[in-house]
Amino acid sequence: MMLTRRDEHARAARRLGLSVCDWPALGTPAQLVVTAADAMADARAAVERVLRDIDLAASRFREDSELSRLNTAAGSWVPVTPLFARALQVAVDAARWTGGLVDPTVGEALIRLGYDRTFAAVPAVAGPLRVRVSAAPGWQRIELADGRARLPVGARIDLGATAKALAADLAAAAAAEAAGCGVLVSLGGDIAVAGEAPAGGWPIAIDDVTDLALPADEHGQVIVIRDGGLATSSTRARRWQRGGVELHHLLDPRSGLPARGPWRTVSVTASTCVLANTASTAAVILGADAPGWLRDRGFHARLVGADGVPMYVNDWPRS
Amino acid sequence: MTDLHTRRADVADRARAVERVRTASRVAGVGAVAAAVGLTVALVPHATGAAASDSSTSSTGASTTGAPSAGSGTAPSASDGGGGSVAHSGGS
Repeated sequence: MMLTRRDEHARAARRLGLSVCDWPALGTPAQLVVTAADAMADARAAVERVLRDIDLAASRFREDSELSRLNTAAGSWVPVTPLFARALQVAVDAARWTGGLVDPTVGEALIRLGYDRTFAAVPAVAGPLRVRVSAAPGWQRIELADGRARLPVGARIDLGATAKALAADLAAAAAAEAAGCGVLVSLGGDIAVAGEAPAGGWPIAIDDVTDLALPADEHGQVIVIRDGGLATSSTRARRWQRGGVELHHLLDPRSGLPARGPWRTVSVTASTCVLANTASTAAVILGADAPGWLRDRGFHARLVGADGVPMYVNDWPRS
Repeated sequence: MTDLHTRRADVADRARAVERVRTASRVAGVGAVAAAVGLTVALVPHATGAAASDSSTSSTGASTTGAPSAGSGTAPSASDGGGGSVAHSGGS
């Protein structure tokens, strides 16, 4: 019988004295690993509370989310909760940190390319599109102050690049506090750890795509982290086709089209998952200059080219 | 004189518009995209786009100074390979 990645995680967890579970959330596999099996229930309850709140605040695919209300009311001030304000501020910070490479105002471009509903419901193949090549409206035009937010007229935001990573950071912290042990939270490969790590650290497989049902031996490398966050951005994930054109979800805000750089997958570790995800996404969009960009900022990273050959930055383990 | 100024302004506007389209085209590889893979692409310059800028002020008043450092996270280490993995990090 074929061993899946899920099976591999369960076996490795047993061997290391850890406990693991996974379930679907935020349109992606959520995974929780704890160092104390009897704390799993408390840890999972804490994670699920965070995911429920983030989904209600920042989902682009729920009409009742704060993000949907803000998008619908572009041009007007809209009251926002502290959690949504934080998610929006994180997205704006990510845009500022990356000089606009990671820009939440690509929402309208994503919709025009066909990613207009939860990804599982997006038709994998459909007819040709007519698209406009134009820069995103620009994160600088997002206004956030005194519990209110306003988007420029005609703009829609998508927080996919940062909200999932923020959720991982918040969920890991909440779970570690609730369970009183070491925890790892993965949301589709956006990983945050908190609490005391296992003696040997957290062993994590690096892949193009996070899919727990794939065969266990199909992954690139296993590394170990002890704190902070790890994120992977890949043009191999969330792909669809229009008029014979392969599209993916990592849009270049300068054109509103899928990034076409030399890197198919970039993995980064950092002090938080938000920071790791921001850097990995920016690297895919930046393209050829990404290794130097990451190196200069002290990120440890693994970049995989279209030919599948990995390149390593700073102290990412070579193997 | 006014007409000449107007014409000069038109020429300058057109030149700026053409440059914006060229920039967007370079970024997007528009020719290749349109011709090779079947997308119908309309080139429309966007007057207000400023997403690639890294030197302005955000809505919160903070100055933009480029990307931060990686923070205090420690570097990952190599696995001994024998223990397997408890999670995956890939695109999603």
